[in-house]
Amino acid sequence: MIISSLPFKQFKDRVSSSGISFRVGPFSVNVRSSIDTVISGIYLLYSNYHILDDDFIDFWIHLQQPKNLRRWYRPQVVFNLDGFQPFKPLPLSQAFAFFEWGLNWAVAKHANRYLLLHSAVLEKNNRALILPAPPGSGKSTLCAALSLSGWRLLTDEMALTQLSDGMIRPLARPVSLKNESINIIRAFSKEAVIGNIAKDTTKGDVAHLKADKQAVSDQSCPAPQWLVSPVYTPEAKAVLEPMDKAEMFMHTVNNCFNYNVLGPDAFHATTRLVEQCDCYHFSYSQLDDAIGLFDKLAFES
Amino acid sequence: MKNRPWTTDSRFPILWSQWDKGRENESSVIYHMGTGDTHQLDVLSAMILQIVESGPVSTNELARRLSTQSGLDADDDFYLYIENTLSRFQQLNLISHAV
Amino acid sequence: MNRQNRIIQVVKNPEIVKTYDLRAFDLLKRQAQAADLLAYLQFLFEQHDLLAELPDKFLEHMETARYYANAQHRAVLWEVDRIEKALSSCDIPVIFLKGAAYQLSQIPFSKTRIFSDIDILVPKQKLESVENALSRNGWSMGKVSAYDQRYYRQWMHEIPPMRHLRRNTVIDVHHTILPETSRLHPDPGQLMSESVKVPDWDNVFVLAPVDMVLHSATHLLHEGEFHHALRDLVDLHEMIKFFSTESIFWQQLYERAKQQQLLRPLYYAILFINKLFGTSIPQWFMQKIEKSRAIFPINSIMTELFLIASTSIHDSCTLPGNTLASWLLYIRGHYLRMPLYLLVPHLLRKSFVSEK
Repeated sequence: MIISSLPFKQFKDRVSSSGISFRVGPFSVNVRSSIDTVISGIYLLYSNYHILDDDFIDFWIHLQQPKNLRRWYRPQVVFNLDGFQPFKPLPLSQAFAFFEWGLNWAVAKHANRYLLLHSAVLEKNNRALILPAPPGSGKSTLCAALSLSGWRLLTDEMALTQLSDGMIRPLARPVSLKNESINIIRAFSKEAVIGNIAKDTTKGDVAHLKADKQAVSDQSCPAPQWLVSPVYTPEAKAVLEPMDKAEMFMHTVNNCFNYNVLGPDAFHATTRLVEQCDCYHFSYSQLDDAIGLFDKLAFES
Repeated sequence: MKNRPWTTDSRFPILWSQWDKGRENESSVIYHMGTGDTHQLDVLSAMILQIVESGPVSTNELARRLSTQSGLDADDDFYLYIENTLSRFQQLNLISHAV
Repeated sequence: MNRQNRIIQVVKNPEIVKTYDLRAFDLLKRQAQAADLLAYLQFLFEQHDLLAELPDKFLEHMETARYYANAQHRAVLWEVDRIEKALSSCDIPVIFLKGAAYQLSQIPFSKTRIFSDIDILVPKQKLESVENALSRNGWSMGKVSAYDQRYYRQWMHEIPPMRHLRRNTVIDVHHTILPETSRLHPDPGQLMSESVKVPDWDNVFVLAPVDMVLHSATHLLHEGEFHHALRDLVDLHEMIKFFSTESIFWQQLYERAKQQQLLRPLYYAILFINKLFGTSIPQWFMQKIEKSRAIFPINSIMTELFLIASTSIHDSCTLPGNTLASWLLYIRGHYLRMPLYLLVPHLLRKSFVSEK
């Protein structure tokens, strides 16, 4: 059963009482909250996710308004992971984005069966395109556009590379769009479903693009094929240039969440990853050019 | 000080990954089990570290071996390059003076 | 509602997981996460050959915790090496305590033990030179208020913790294992002279096994913080399992505790682990140290308070009275350390400072 099969009223009651459990990639999440924007945000953007009645839950998440007097003049929201608050409260208007960031954090800290890369991953013909990049490189925008152009979205934010076999585990979630990207993606595709905009966050304006049904349900794990370091360069033509393996190794390490924790295992996993992949620098300014180039790459190999 | 041999600490081994080995564009990355740091090395730096790793060695002896291995003349610039590389390795805690 | 502490249950009898359903595993995971004992559970189940009995999802969380423990293990070895080198000019044996010492002694469970600070023991007259050597090598005291400086130096057994500016690790330098003001005065000279050299290092030492146990037992009752009490109890349980394979251990432990006037804290520590985990203790030993317990009713009140506070580590197993129990024990921890005329202003000051 998926979330959209519950009527909104029933969904809302469940989230605000016992919480609702659903599957996100390999993880189970229970979210409890009586905050309207959280409830409606999940109902819109997670409508295709499977509801679980498991007794074992990976992440117990609770978003609530702190019970202090400030709530009367400056309402806030607290993110709580099973009794633990990893972050300071945020303004209430950012509650849904806080859920997304909090869940990212929960996965980043509790999934050491994977080499976790700050990276978008897309798939075509059962091969994975991995785009590790720091914030501000245009990774999410590119990822959103590819996911709206026939590439399967595996993640926009965190690549799960299985330590056991090097395959990429899908973790399809809403794609986080910032500032101008929100309108760029709206203009890019009529199919884009985008949630409410959270204004003036530390990252500027933030909104989330819904992951399509196929991306959410397909749990197959493609093999890594292309490892690409994207850089948005104003006015530039879309160009792929081969990148040295050692250089790509360092780039990957710099975009790894749990490299220090995994230590030698991370070193071996990164080695395998760069050896399995064709490695490229990529600069671009126009989404259409970029997609044309990646389609060509997928077609040729 | 100058003639004290250089050494790595076997309690904190170094892991290596190398590509295009033996070619001019050979590239390496290493992981140091002590610091947990990862470094990228060019072809000559990699040779130097591997020589130290194979057993305690003085700067002079190292220069002699590296010159044979690489076919480069052991002139003043060569010597300076080696000394700089060794001191960089020392700062990164990859090598130290043998006691 | 069932308020069972599942960790205690499985430490006492690991086989019990064979009867667990997924809900029980979920609670065990959450409680062990809160108590920093999930990596330890992986070790425990591995040792009892039970990993195959466990659901994959539960295994995944234990593996994740184990990776953190392994990373810490690597970092501690490097830190020990750095500290040994930094103190090479001080002409003292470098004696490591607690977590780092368990690891250096290769007590099996120590590879899974999560802790944050490295503790070392140095002779009192060398404190200044140790502090200077650490400062020269990248450690710094940071901003410590004049009041805290005095609190640490005069009434506690430590100089303020020092942080390494690049690696961000923290070292606590002790010159005795209990505060100067405490009513118990174990002799640090003897601890040092009987410390044991660690192989593979030139100048790294740990306390002798009986001293290690006594130190851990004493701390259990003299710390004001209960967040880690359960973990500390597990330490003691595992240490005793490990060291008591030597038949002479119990006799030595009794004699040393008596000599150091630490029979009472030892009695309570042993009583608690035996009550909670069923740690096996020879009957003659128990009878001998029992004489050191406090008079009734203090004895039973203490026991109850401690058990409530140490086992309430997660919402799912918080026992009624936990807040009060923790508070009373917090005061007691300080009361054991400081004369009352010092304690009251200190607690007052603490409550003001935390209001900021």
